[in-house]
Amino acid sequence: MLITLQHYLVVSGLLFSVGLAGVIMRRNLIVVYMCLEMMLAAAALALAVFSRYNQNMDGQVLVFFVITVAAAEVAVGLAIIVSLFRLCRTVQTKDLTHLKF
Amino acid sequence: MNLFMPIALLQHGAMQQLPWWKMPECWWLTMGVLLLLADIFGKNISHRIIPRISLWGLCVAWIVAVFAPRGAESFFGAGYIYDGTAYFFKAFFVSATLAVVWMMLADEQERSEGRSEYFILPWFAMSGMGFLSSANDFLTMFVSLELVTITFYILVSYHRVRRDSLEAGAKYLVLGALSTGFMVYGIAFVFGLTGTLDFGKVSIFIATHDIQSGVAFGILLILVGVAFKVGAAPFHWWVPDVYQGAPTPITAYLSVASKAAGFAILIRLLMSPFYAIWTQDVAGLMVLAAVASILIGNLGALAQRDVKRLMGYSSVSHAGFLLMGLVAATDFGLKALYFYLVVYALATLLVLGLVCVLARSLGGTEMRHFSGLAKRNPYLAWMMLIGMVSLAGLPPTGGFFAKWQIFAAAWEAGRHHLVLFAIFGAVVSLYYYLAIVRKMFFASADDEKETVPVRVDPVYFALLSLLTVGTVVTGLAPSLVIKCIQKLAF
Repeated sequence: MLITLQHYLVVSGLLFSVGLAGVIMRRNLIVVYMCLEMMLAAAALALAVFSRYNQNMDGQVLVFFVITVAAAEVAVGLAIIVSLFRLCRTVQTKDLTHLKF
Repeated sequence: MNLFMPIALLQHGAMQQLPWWKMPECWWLTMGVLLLLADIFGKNISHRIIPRISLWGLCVAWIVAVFAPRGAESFFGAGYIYDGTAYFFKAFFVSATLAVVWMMLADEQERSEGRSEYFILPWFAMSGMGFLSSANDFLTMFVSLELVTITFYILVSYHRVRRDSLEAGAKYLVLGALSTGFMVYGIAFVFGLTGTLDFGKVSIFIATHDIQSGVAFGILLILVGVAFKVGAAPFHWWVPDVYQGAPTPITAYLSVASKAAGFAILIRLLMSPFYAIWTQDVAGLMVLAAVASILIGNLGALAQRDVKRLMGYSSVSHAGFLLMGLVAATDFGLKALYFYLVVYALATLLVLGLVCVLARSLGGTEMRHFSGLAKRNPYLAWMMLIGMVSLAGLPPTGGFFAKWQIFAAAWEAGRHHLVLFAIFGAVVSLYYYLAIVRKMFFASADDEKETVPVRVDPVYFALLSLLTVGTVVTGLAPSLVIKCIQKLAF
């Protein structure tokens, strides 16, 4: 069987959906964050595949930037989550209810 | 000059290529890095000096950004262009950053843990926003947008000993990253089906082909990502929480500069890649988002007791009004949008600046803390009154003309129902903007401690006076301000 553009896009769509579902349903900030990374990975996969399909490298260059940005985001994000844990002893989203009117 | 010409048709070859030193962002980034290094190596003196260097550096950057010579130029092939829109937004971002750092300086003076990153990070955010306003392909747009967003994650959660600040940071982080995910996925689809990341080439593709569902899906996701950044409903959930929890100068920075950055991308997307489908398809979405933002922002604000949270909801409704300027997709609409941005920035910085300076002496940012302020410091109370009146859109201030222009632009585009709805929204907003004025002037303070006069640092008072004068001038001489905008942006 030949693996075509569609197959890759289905995988990428599945990854994106699983990530989105995780962000909406999971209750642990770390897991939510992992799901967000999964969404970025799905986008990176789609970019790489489309780049191959279009026979130009622009998309693959963008993938490198996506990976770099994701790494920077993780560095900052985990720092915030760790500080939050130090202060409140929790990383559950249900406990983040301090801000409301 | 008609701005709405797909940029590719202007022929990039004819545009002058810019040497790197002519890009202001390169200097801003260099300044940020140098200040960070100075912070590492100059341990003992840096805490006191860096905030001042940062402020004076911003003054220089402001002069350069406003008075720089101009002409259409490009850089990075065609990934970065330096045209009127870029000029206007760069001047806007530098002014906003200057005001915010000024505000931080007053806010931090009394804090014991003086850390200087607080004054350095705005340089990076400002560079990101500057690049964003010049972006001419999806790559530049994505990377500069992330530079802004990641810097803001740090700034929002900066007071990490306060639970509010960290919680706001965590919420901003999750929702900001979510919007990034949507945007990258959208970019992937637009790239995949048009075969290019360049705004000009995408615009030609969209103008000459029928829109496939894949491209439409990509465009929709990109717009969702941008809607997050401007805080427009239905993607506004993060706004109230983050605005309330962030340090007050950062709240002001978010509501002025970060929102304007979102509109800078929207204008770029409108002017080039999505121009062909804007008036039929995208404008409809904009109308929906504008109606939802005005409705949710105003209804949400009615019930608020905390002024920062109220400003959050108010900024959602202002995002709705600003979107109305884009619905028309004409030069007139854009001019109205720019004018509204300037007026909104002045009034928001004024109100949040007052909240920032008063929070400590009044004991909090809730509405009840402001009761009887007119007796304790009439100048500040009157400044707050002017800011609130401008946000509400009443005559002697700039807010009135800004709303007038935006409504006229949308009316001209045939969106009569939208204008009527927006007028209704503006009337509702009077209630909550004037509620705080009523507290300040007519409610009496409950206990005797609250009759002590409030004092303000003169440096800080100067900033507030400047913003007040700006708000009044935009109201009394709007044509002058519009002329300046015209000169900068068109």
